[in-house]
Amino acid sequence: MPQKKIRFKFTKTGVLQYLSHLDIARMMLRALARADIRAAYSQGFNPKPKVNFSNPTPLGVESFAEYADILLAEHLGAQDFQYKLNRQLQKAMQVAEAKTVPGKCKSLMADIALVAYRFKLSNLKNMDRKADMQNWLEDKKELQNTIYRMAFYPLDQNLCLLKLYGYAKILKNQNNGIFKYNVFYDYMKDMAQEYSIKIESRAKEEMFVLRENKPKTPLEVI
Amino acid sequence: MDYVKRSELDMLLEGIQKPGRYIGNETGIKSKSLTQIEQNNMVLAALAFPDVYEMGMANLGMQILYDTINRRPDFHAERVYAPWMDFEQSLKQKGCHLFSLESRILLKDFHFIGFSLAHELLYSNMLNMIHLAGLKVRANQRQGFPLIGAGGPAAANPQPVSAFLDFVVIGEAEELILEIMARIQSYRAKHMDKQDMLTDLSRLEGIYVPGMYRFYYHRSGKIQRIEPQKQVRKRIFENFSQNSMVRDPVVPNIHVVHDRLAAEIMRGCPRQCRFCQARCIYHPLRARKEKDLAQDIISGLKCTGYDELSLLSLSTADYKGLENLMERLKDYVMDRRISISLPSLRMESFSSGVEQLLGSGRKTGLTFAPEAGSRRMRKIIGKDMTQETLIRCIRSAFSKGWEKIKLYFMIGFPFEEDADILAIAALIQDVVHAAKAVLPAKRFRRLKIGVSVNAMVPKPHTPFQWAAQDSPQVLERKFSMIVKNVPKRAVKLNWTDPQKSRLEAALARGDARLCDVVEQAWRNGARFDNWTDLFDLDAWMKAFAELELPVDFYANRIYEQDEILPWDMIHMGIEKKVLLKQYQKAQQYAAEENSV
Repeated sequence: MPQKKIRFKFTKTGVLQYLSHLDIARMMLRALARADIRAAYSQGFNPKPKVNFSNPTPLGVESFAEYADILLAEHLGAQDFQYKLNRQLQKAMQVAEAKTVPGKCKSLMADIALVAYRFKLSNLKNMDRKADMQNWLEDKKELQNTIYRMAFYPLDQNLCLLKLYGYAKILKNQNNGIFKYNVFYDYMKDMAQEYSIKIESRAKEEMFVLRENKPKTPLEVI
Repeated sequence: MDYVKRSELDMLLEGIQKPGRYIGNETGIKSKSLTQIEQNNMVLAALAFPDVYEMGMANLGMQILYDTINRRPDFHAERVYAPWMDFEQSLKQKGCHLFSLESRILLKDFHFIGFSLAHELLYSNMLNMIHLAGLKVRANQRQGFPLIGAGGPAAANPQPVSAFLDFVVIGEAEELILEIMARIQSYRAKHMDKQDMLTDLSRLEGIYVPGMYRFYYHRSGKIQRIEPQKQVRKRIFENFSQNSMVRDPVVPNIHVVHDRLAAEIMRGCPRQCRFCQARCIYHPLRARKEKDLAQDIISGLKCTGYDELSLLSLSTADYKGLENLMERLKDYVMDRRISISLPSLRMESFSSGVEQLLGSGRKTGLTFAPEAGSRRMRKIIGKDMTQETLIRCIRSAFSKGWEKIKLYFMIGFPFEEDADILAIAALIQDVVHAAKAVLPAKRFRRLKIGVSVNAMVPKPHTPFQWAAQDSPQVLERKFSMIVKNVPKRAVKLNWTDPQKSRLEAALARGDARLCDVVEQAWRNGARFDNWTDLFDLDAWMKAFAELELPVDFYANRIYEQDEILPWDMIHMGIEKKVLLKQYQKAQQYAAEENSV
């Protein structure tokens, strides 16, 4: 049987942020079945469709960058795949991009090195943004060496975007730790209270693999 | 019409364990927009299931009524499930009333709230939901809309919850629900008084209005008379066989029990097990045609994307067209690796053809329900099956690769003796021996046969409705006899807390005075009584004591054959004298056996 791999990126927004990784995976498999897209199956007593998902997004966080690889048991172009699948998915969960994997590729879970979160913050007058935040983070042992990069982008006088890139795996020669979202977010809530900042929204924005030390999205490297 | 906004929902869900229970947005929901609802002045029904989402989503009745109502352009139904403890706290802390899943409309703004009562241990949750909706739990303290009704097996004797309900649906609601909705529509136009609404509703076949009945008691606590004497006849959905099943049911977002497509192939049961309430409630026997079913099932699988199918009925192996149905489904099902489970497959008609088809997919568990261990006991309870057939079937199941096998037994039947209990242990042993004979040693060593033992609960509208339940002490002793006599390595025994079974029996056979107990138990904190770790026996026992009503009067007493029963005003489709004859038959058989 001809087998083709497609890598696709999808969203998990709105109230769907309250669903777990397993729930989302199950929903995706059912949508695939409704679209009558045939996946290849694993061998053995309890055969499972060959669909592999990227690193789980924490409960309560919207995501604009969930990834999955599917091994198809039929010929289907990436565009057709995206179109057929999106018709069976709800608005809050849509395939944003799909690409046929031409050759071999590393599994998402093994390859993804960075996760980018985005926080919208308001009422920042009491804080010198980056400096304060970095000072404040310094003594948080559990978070040390788990953040790859952090940047603030002012949107208007009172609104600011914080982009944070956390490590998703241990890298060679980096002496890094794995970024724990929930730990970070708990501290962030404390800090918000301390400086009376308001956290307007939070979301997972993108995930990256590293190629020659440069972040690339999983779809850029196939 | 008030509703909870998205930002408010986010606040309510902060720190909640399983927020997915409360967000709606599933595949297959049929919600109309709030503007549509308001502009068209639709009649709003809240379909309520008094257990947590994961349990409630498995209820077929909810899916059927949800579909039936929402097909109508002028009616609208939304669902609501019992909030878990943490969400109840969150609602209370934020001063928010309970709301529906789809559009988050406050429950108190619906015209009608219909509870589905699957079993008696949901009563406290029903009260809690009414309270969390911001409504008074007592029907006579509520004015106007919403009208609150209930239906389902635990409403077959509505007395213990009669004070909380404006009306009760007796029997099948597929057609009745639309008649109720249409009436409500006309009441709204006429601005009718609640009393007049209920009087009018009571004219529909299958509607019991508790407020219209009075009970008089003897000093002994037994019922002296019920006024009026007029019986409410069960509503039967005559069109069942021709009517297609729900083809696009709501597919849950989170994992629920029985997470699969359920196809009701047959309603009613040709068997006459004397303890079984379902047999009477779903009487008479009606079957759907294989051709229609096959079509509906395939379109159901297409609409939902489920990879598992369950054929539902009280006795699937008695469905004549089973082989034919499987044949029709074969290509679609095997092509997509859909597994089929038959929960109540009767072993005596377990043909090899069906087995083969089932065996081709992913193997689900097999359940067998011999209920009793001895031939004598099976005769008394009306379960016509022999030990030979059972062992033969299980042997063949093992040899064909099934290893997940579950056996169901009941103890505490009337006329039961210790020998009958020992026979259960012996039967389990025989099953283990059969497994040992058939399975290779390696597979036998990791085998675990699930055995579930439950106490018999005498249920209204069954031949055993007059029988007493054994006391918890007697039940414990009988159960320990089984424990001592089965090989523990190959068997996993499961057993229901006999105190819980006793409460279930008391509520099942209770009269209207138990309403006070139910309310008091709920006030004492009873919730989720069917959840082993949440069941609060104290809350209930205190309530019984406070109201000076003895539990054993309801649970552990033989009801007299000429006694007026609390549910005598309900006609479930089988005459009381027929049930009594069945009970006497069992009695007679037991007496004859003893004299030999």
